[in-house]
Amino acid sequence: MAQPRPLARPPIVEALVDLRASVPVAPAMFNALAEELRDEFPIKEERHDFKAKLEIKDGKVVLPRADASAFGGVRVATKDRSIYAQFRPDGFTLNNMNAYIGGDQLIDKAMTLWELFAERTAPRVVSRAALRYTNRLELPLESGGKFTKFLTAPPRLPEGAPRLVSQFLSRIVGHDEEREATAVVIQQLKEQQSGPPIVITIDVDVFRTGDFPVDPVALRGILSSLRMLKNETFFSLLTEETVSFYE
Amino acid sequence: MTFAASLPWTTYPYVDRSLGTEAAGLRQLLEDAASPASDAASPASTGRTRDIFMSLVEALTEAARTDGITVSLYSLNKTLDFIQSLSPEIPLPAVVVESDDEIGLDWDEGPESVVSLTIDTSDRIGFAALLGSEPLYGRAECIAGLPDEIRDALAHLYPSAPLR
Repeated sequence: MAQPRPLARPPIVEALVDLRASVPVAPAMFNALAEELRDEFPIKEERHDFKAKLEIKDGKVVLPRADASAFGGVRVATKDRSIYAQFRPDGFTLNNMNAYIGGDQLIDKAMTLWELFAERTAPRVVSRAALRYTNRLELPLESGGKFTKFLTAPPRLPEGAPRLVSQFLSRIVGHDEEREATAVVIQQLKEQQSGPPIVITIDVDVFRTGDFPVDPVALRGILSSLRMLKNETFFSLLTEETVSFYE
Repeated sequence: MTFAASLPWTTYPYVDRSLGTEAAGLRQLLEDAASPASDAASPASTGRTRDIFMSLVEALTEAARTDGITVSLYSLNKTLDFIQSLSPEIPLPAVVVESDDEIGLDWDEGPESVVSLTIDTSDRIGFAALLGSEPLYGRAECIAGLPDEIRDALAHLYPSAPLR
């Protein structure tokens, strides 16, 4: 397995911080926050759940009524859509897409926005804190090559089963007793259209549940611990050769 | 070495707040893998299918409310079939009902990264795209699978998505 270390070109396509907290406040509060953040996050979308009844009459789709929608929160984004912030009645998520800003910056940004959100919505407790990283690895594996050249724990078929594998999807939920955290680890080999590189997705989602304080200092500590678990888990899945491609 | 954990470890339901196309693809695959075969007949049984259905309903509601448009069932079904045929790694488009017979689908990933399709009652799909500085437009025959012009345009926007 590879040693955890900073990578110059990490294969991260999405990194997110998610904090779950019940904040039953009026939609106007969410919109006001989005307005305050408009300089940095000019793109804004409101989320709604709603019901509508479809009827077919004379070959036409008729909508006699649509029920009032349930407010689902507000999502704002930077102009280049590399960072999204989701403010919802059930919590907050910061998503960093494609252009990774770094682990320190991700947590810093999340805490800054969380603090703004919490000041306005006064959550009583954070019930779940999570970090999730989705990685896309393009690896030079030829047909007939061994996955173990690049992965330390690829899904395996035993002797007697077909040995040439074109796709796999593995999801394992593991628990760290010391950190009281859970790690959901997904490894996926996508169906290949042609020869190398093969594309493997490694998704590591680490979280803790409980009654956590809402103050950013306490939450930063929890997220930092989760970040260590995430890093250890991610690098444990890769060989040193794989990591070398991203240094 | 791995060991079995005592149950239950946590009663908190798993949640997914990702927005990216890679994670969307994973979500769809996991939902498909988890759905029993008997649920396959229910059109709204999977997350992405449900999202497709809901986005169409939103567009239909808006068109009925603001313009009094009631779209044809044929166009609606054709649009539903088309969106469902796309790889789950392609984000769902914005849907706009343009007339009684036409439904528009838009993917907007920023300046010079836009693909728009128009589905109507004919065997062709209208497309317009701005990819880089070059505009593309036309009508493509939709007989067997995704027309090449539309596949190429979407592949330009979403290079990681396997396009059938």
